[in-house]
This record gives sequence, C-alpha cells and structure tokens, in this order.
Amino acid sequence: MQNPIVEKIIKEIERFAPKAEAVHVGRVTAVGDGVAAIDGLAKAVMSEVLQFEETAHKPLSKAMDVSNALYGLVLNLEEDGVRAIVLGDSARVAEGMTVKSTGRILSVPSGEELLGRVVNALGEPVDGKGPFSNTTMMPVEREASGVIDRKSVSVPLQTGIKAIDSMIPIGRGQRELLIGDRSTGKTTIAVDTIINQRNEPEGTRPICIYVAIGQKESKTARIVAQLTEAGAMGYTIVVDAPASAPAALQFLAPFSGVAIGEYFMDLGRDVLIVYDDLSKQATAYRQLSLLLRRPPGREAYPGDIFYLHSRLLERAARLSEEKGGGSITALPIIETQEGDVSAYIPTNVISITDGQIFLMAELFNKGVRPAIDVGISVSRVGSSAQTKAMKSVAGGLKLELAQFRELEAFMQFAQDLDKATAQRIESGLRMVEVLKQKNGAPLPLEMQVAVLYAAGHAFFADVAVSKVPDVEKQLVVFLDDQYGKALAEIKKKGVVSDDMKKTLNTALEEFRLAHTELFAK
Amino acid sequence: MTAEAYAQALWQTIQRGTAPKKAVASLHTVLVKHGRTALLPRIARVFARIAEREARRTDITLSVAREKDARTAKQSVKRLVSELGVQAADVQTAVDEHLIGGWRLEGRGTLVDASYQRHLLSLYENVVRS
Repeated sequence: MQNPIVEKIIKEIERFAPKAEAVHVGRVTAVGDGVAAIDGLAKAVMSEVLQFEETAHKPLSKAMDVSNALYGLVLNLEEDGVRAIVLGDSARVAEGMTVKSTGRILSVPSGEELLGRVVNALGEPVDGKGPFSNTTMMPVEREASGVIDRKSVSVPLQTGIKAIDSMIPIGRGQRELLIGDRSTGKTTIAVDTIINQRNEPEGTRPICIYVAIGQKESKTARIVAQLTEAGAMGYTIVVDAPASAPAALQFLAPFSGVAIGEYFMDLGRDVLIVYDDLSKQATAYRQLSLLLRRPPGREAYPGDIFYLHSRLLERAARLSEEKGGGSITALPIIETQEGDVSAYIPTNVISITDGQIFLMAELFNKGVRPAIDVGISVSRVGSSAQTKAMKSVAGGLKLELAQFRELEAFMQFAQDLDKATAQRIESGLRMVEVLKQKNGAPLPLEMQVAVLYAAGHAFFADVAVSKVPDVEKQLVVFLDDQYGKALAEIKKKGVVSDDMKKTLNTALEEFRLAHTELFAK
Repeated sequence: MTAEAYAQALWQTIQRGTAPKKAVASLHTVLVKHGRTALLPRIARVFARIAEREARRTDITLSVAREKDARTAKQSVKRLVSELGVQAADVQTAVDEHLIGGWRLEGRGTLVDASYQRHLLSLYENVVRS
C-alpha cells in the first residue's frame, strides 16, 4: 500500500496535460506606493485583473516558495500602457517584471460557507479557519439593479434600538447613513443592529455583512468577539481591510462586501451591509487617484469621488418578486470633523442615501446614548416600512422630543415656567431617559412597543428622572418573564389591538403594584 | 515633462522618416531658439528609454534551458512566430537554465510558456490545491 500523498501525486501526473497558451503580457516600468506603471498590455480593459509573474528567472525551488499569486487591477488605460493598483504587497513587484493579462474582471467568492468567517477585500479567509471549498464567484463591479427590477421599501429592518425603530425607522432595501464625529457610537449602532437580527425568525433573518475599512485590527477583532459572544456570527460575514492594508484593498473592500451580499440577494434573501466607514474609503481612493496622476478636485479628492459612493450605494435595493424579492440594506458610516456635516464627503453621501442618523458628540458626552440628534436625523422611506404597532406608540414622539430640545435650551434661563411647559419638560426628560439604551442590548420589537406604550401613558411620570432607566430595565425583565408569550402577538400581527392594550395596561398596573417603592418621586 | 515631450517629438519625427542627424539638428535649433539647451542631456536619456521600450515591443525572444535545445525549440515555435508576423531570423535566442527544459517565447505583447519549469509549477499547484 502506497502513501496517500504519493498516490495523489501519481494521479496528478497521470492526468497532467501540459498546455502552452499565448497570453497578453506587459512589463512593469515603475512601481511605488501600491501603483504599478505597466508598458504594453494594449488589449487590457478597465478593472481587469493582471497577474504579476514572480516565478520567471528563478530556480524551481524558489519559484515554488511564491505562495500566493500577486494580482493587480487596471485602473488607468494610457497611450503606451496601463496603470494598475497592486492587490497585495507591492514590495514583491520589481521593475521589468512580466505582467500577464487574465481577461477577467475582479471577482470575490461568496456563498453559505462564508457565514461566520472573516475575509479580506479579495474574499480570502483571514481567520485561520481554512480555505473555502464551495463558493460562487461574484463580480466586484456590477451594475446596480434597474428601476423595473426594484420594489419600494415596505418591510422593516429592526435595529433593536428604540430611538431608531420608533423615530427613524429603516426598511429592508434602504440606505441609511450613520454620521457623526469620532467616538459618538456609530459602530455601536451598526453592531447592535447586526446583533438584533438574532430576534428575527431564521427564514426572514437578514444575512449581515460588516465591512471594516481602515479600522484598527484590534477594533475589528473586538467586534468579531462581540458578535460571536452574542451568537450573531452565524449569520454574519466580516470583510476586513485594516488600516495596515494597502490603500487599494481599502478602496475595494466595500465593493467586495456588496458583491458577497448580491449573491444572497439574488437568491431572494435579505442582506444588511455595514460600511465602516466610507470616509476612510474616500481617503484611500484619493491616495490611489493622486498616485495614478488623476487631476485632484475639491479637498484633493478626484472628480469621480461622488460616483465612487453612488455606484456602491445604488447596489442596495429591494428586488421585485420576479427577481426573487431579495434585498440589500446599506448602513454606510461617515465620520465628521467637529460635527461639520457640510464637508465634501458627508454632503455627497447624505445626498445619495435615503436618510441619515446624526450622532452628536455633545449628547454623547451628556450621557444620552445612543446620541441621536432627532432634529436633523431623518428616514426618507422607512416610515412606510414601520409596523402599525410601532406607529401607534411612536406617532408624535419625534415632535415631542424636538419640542423638548427647544424648551430645554429655554429652561436654562427661565425661572418661572407655566404648568404646561413644566409638564412638557418633565415628560421630555423622562422620554429621553426611556430612549437611552446600553450598547450590545438591542430590544425586540414587542418590548420596544411595550416600553414606548408605557412611556406614552405616563407610566414613568411618578418615577424620579434618574431612576427611569433602572425602572425600564426591570419592567422589560418583568414583561419578558410574565407576559412574553402574550406580547409576542405584537410582532406576529404587527398591531397593538384593543385586547393587547388591555393586556399591557394590566401588566403595567401589576408591575406598579409590585414595585411601589420605585414610583415615589 | 518638457524633456519627455521633446524626446517623444524627436522619436516620432525619426519614425516618420526624417534622418536622425537632421532631426537632432532641428531639435537643437529649436532648443537654442527657446533658450532650452540645458534640457539636451535629459532629452537624450528619455530618448534612450523610449528607444529601448520600443525595441522591447518589437523584439521577440525565445528562451531555452540549454543552448543545444535552441534548434528544436525554433522548430516548435515556427508557426507561432509566423502568426505574430515576425521573420524566423529576427527571433533572438536566450539561455535561461531555470526553465529546466522546453521553451518560452516572449515578445510583441505575447507570452507563450512551454517550459518544464512552468509545467512543474502547474503540477505542484494542482497537487497542493487538491
């Protein structure tokens, strides 16, 4: 009996048919900062993948050491050659190196096998769990679905965050921007939204894709650990292009992420994709464009920076039933400087998306978390996707809070307030407390409805403002234990029926009687 | 950039049939007229690069592992070379012992690799991948 490895080698030798095909080639004339100038390749096309031939003029033993092929991507077609970005370590590219045309457009693998995995911008696993065996290649650049193939947004995507689901609802297929200064909780909202999808039934649970662009490896590792701990990695794929990765990979990562998502959308599944964050992708693209000698425009960004983001975000869609009814919901993140939303990239992305959730550093520092500025946050299409149950309890919430914010400023100067104004301020203070939520603790829809119903019916009126979060927490535990099954009807039917209102009133009264000590101001 | 433009212009003038001596003299006159004679050494360097690049573009090299393989290899690539529109006599031969055996034809933007090294590497990749 022979060694299985020897057998395998013999088998490979037996079926080996040497081929010598003619390929189009060029030659590297210059390389630097991840960009290679290549002479020749007259038949190359835009976005074509090129292969750098590292094995030429090397002894066989050294050629075998070249573990992974090094690829490039054509981004500039010029008179005498092309300019390509190196998809890997550009230190491996040398002047005079032969570059082969592959005739294919850049694609990444996608499929069920990717769930729970961390991949790089080229779709290669980077989590040490081994290679993929059964995947489908999806083109990184693909035209967005047309008008005929789309359907309007009507199914909600629950984030599990009370302030969002009640006032800035997101629908499946929508593009909702998360914008704010650094450390204001943008990533937290996105990660909580992914975690909350575990509350969805398996059949309709969206596949989640988290694209980390230019982030610290430690942050991505922490997010992966958080998702794993919350049991969310089973339906999540992480595409990682860290700050240490070449600019080319940081520019490509969002496109790879959406290409992976399109595989699932084409199968009729719902997908949620988070781009964390597009400001860093824009910076990477600016770097590449300047190295490619493209003329700089405003803030030194190239002229097609708007198109870069619009063609990416247009790929988020809800497809018609004829096309399978799948969807991609996009949550792009943009980091602002000193709250300046009128900078170039923020205004571009605001105009492309279907709404924005603006996070304020001031609110965050005050302890209002999530630090959403309700006044300038908006969801342009989400309200048609909001459930009737949520609409019935959150109808006037946004207006109430906006009025409260105005009064809050006024309150600091006024001594004597009339009774109605004082009451509105008191109610507003409690509502702000109710809407506060810890990170990593998304609430299922029925619990959100119950809490907002309670808040809307002056349940917290007799609770000291500082104690509201604590009382709310206990109320949620109580409702989950005692009325969990009854409340599940809210999610199932999507409405708060008269019977349900009675049940809620009974439950709230029961809680009040059991915890009288909490209701003494 | 200016030196490149002058070098490119000089190259194109010569390609269009002007005698090199005459073309260089004309260029010199223009440079003197515009007070740019200092650019001459740089123009010469760029011109040499263009010439080298263009020569590489038209050159065809047949690489073999040993000198004695050249004759057999030339027979093997005869049809290929004629398809590329090159005279058999214009094919340059080079020895690259890393090829182990077989041949490798490169030039005019085309590469055909029929070397043993390439075959062995494909075999190795197939074995490792499976």
